[in-house]
Amino acid sequence: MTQPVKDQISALLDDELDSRESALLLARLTRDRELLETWERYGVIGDCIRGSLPTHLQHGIAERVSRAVKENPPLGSTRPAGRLWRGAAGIAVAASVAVVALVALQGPQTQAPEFVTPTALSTTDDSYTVPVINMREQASASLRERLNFYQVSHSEIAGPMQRRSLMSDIATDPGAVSPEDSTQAGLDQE
Amino acid sequence: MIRHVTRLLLLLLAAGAVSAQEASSWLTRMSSAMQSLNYRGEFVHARAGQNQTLAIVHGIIDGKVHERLWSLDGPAREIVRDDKLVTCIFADKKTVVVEPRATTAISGPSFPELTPELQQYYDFVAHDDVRRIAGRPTRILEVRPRDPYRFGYRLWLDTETALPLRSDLVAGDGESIEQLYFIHVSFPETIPAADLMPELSAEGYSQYRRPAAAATEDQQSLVPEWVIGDLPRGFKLEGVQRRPGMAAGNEIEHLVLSDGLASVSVFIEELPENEAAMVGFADTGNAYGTVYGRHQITVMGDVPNRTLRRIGRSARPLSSF
Repeated sequence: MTQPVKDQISALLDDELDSRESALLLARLTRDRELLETWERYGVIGDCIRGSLPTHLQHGIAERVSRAVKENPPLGSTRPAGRLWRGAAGIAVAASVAVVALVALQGPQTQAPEFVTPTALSTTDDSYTVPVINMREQASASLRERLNFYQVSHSEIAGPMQRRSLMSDIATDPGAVSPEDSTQAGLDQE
Repeated sequence: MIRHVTRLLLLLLAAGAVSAQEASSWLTRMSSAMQSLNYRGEFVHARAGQNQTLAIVHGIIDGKVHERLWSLDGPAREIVRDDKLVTCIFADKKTVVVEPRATTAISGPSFPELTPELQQYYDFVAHDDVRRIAGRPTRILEVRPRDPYRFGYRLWLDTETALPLRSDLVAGDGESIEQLYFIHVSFPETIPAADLMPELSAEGYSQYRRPAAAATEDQQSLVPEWVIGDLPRGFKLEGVQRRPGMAAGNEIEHLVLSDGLASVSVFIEELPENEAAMVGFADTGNAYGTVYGRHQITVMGDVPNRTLRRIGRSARPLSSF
């Protein structure tokens, strides 16, 4: 399978495909077996059944998939066969059901997540607007400082492999901690 | 013919079992090596096209782990950790920041154990060939993610001590995202206490002490005020801690999530009026910011962007249910 198609699946999971692209990809999923297997490897089927799909893909899919799986039991359950075959058949059925459920959901039903997204500047409280700065574009000193503050706390709970890399970041990051104004930084000067 | 195929399958299955068993024993050895060994060396940290050289001394004194890490390139900086404090000395800023170590109420996976649960999300493969790192023979242990919600690792473990002499953080497509590798390492019998003390004098530097989290016993009974509505599978809430935030009078809720190997922190803090929120991904590649109401939500961890974002976007106050 080509990398662009894999990237497209990732983008679909990340809610980064426009509606035309996702419709095309989902249509392709229904007829491309290899693509279906990738879809399965990405764990989407399990997510469907457990109802833990990304928010933008949820909207009732879990119920549809469980119902469809109940109504169309995997081939293996009606035909005596080896365990491997049963598993594979079950996966294929579940996969196609999931895809059908998703295809059926394309269009007006696919809504933006109900949570406030980074692009939504106004918040749930109308009387109050939170100004935002994009982390990647404006790495200001105070932003670095706040990130660094979190980074030290995170390093304390991270496993030893992660901690080494976090510590290295702090020890070499040119923008790390510079509490020029201790009140602003919430740090007590001694 | 069928018999041959069956035998081949059995052989392959047996090989898989041996590999998992071997991987498990390497993991156990590695865990204990990282905790209990005395070692010192220089290593390179490479991420996002940047290479930095650092030195480390890791020693056990009176049964407690002490570690000193300092930069060899660019501005002189040092981090000293013991069981109570993390002290960061920044010669370029003439600043010392002292952070009390987190209480034991929360902790991520201290050392990964190869449980059946963990094997649902990762494959563990011990390779046979021997590779040299920092002049020493190593064996490669590979941890491959089984879905796109987590990263994998490639670990080069010293054949004698099992200390990882090189570790790569690897994306699902096999691309290495970050590398840490020793260029020189030694294992002295003892480490003199003086070698674990900061070398930078810090005289005349501004000193800052971060406020500590509440006492352990209070933290243990904490109930989170925020929940993650859409956790990628395998991730569970391991703990919660509350501590004073950056702004005066503010409090941060710190949720600790883990899948048994990767740990993710979620920091939730109410923004003071006119304070800008951080949104999007940080250029360090391991943090994502978003907003819920007046709250800044920051998710941090060595997991793919989709995992950081999914967690961040689905954080909401318990009171909203």
